[in-house]
Amino acid sequence: MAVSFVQRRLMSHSSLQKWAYNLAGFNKLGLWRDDLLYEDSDVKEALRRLPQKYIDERNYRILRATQLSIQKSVLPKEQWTKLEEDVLYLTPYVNDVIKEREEREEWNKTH
Amino acid sequence: MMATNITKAPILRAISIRGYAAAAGCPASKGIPVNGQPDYEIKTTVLPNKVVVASAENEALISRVSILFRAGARNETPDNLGTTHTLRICAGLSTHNASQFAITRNIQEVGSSLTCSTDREVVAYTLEGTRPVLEKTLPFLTEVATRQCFKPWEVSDNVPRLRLELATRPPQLRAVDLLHKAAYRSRGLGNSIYTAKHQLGKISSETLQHYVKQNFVANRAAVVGLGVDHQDLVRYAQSLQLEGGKADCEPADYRGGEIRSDKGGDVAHIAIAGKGGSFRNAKEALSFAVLQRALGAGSSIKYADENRGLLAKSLSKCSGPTSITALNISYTDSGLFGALISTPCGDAKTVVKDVVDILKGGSIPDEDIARGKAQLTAAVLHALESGSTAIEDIGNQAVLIGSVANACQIANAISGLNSSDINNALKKITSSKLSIASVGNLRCVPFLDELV
Repeated sequence: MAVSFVQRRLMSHSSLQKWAYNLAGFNKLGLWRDDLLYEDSDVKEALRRLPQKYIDERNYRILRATQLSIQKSVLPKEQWTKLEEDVLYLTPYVNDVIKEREEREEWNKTH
Repeated sequence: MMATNITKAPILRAISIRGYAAAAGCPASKGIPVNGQPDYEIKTTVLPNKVVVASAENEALISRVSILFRAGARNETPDNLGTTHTLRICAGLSTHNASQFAITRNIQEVGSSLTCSTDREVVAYTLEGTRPVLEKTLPFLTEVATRQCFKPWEVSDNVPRLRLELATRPPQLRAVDLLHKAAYRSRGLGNSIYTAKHQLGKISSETLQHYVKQNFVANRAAVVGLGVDHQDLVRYAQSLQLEGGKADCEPADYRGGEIRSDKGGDVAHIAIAGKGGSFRNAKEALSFAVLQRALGAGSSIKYADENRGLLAKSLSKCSGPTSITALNISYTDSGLFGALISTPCGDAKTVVKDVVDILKGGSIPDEDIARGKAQLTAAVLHALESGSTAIEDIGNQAVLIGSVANACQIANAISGLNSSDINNALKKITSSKLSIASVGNLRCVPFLDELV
């Protein structure tokens, strides 16, 4: 009980954050922030490392959003992604990939 | 270090080489062999957490440090078979404080080398490098040996290397591997040192982490060094902060049996063994080693037609190139002793029957025993003289027995053996049930019940 109380406090978003998130509009298609990352080489490598479960969920969301886009419609309001549900599943992997690339480049500069 | 062309000019290179040789403190100028003094004194300390630390200062130019664990293939359970093979392939992958790139490049840059070797009983990580740089690279040894991460994508990226190793095993190696399976059944010492093909890709990161957590424990660890100061090594071993864990695995249980692996081709490779000597009884282990050389275990002179051992008698009956060598493998509490035969498939029956007759024979003539003792002493002294074989031997003794004997003590122990010891060892084989493993074209290889 105590643990979940702490978690909720750390993860609670201000109204401004929630308003900005809803204004962006991609949550109406059921997408998450990490689904929208531009797939450059770092993100591609991070996607290669992602466990299969997250890849399957990501593909489902992207496919559903594509279908909605073709039909020029959006999800019903109950199914719009909420900021609390939107987990940054890919960003930690991307950050690690970038850190490794920078380590390599730094080494090549001095050796 | 930037690559420059300046050192490629012959005259400048000659000057730089001469300059180094005359540098103060270079062992060559003091009369010490470049590989270090062969008669070094070994100091052993056992830390409070049961880690055995052994080192010798042999004044070599290259220092070597090795971390060993009694975590070899015999500790694998049926659901994680092949973990030690994967561990060996995954040595050097990302750890908690260093990425794979950092480990490889930093060690390469100073000219050191880091190797991992696994066995049925021991997993060893060895770092070798010139003295001034060894201290700089020791943290990487700690990382690689004790703080592995086993990131899932790195492990799966290395499955092709596992596959390559499996594909490039020579058939004699497969025969000896299967011999263990035949002798000890499918557990403990019977476990293969290689992953089975059906397990490729199935050893996950969690399995590896769990295996390391269970088996890389302080009461089964040793840290050895050659060309390092003993107190420095003790401090290093304490800094590893290994935790205690469960004690050793089940005792070995020799059963005997046969395994045949039909692969076709022209040659049959057969490994035959009976129950051999274990390290617990040092005298018996040395007797079996002398017996191996008395029966014939490889030539001492390259390219020589030297067929002196007793096992060589069948060679004249063979129609093609044949190799018969005595096999002696000792573990902490068990061992295998016998022969490894590679022969054209048609001659397999005669050769195997002759070899079994000698193994079950009775006694060895004194001159063969004397030759065996001399050859074994030379081999031991060569191995312990210097270099990678020395650190490996010292490491194995430290981690398996807990104390390290130096070359002179072992040589004296060998000369203290007499013919009755060797003949008693042979009698043990006579009374033990045989194990046979054969690989290749098996149409003429006899079955176990045809031999007894």
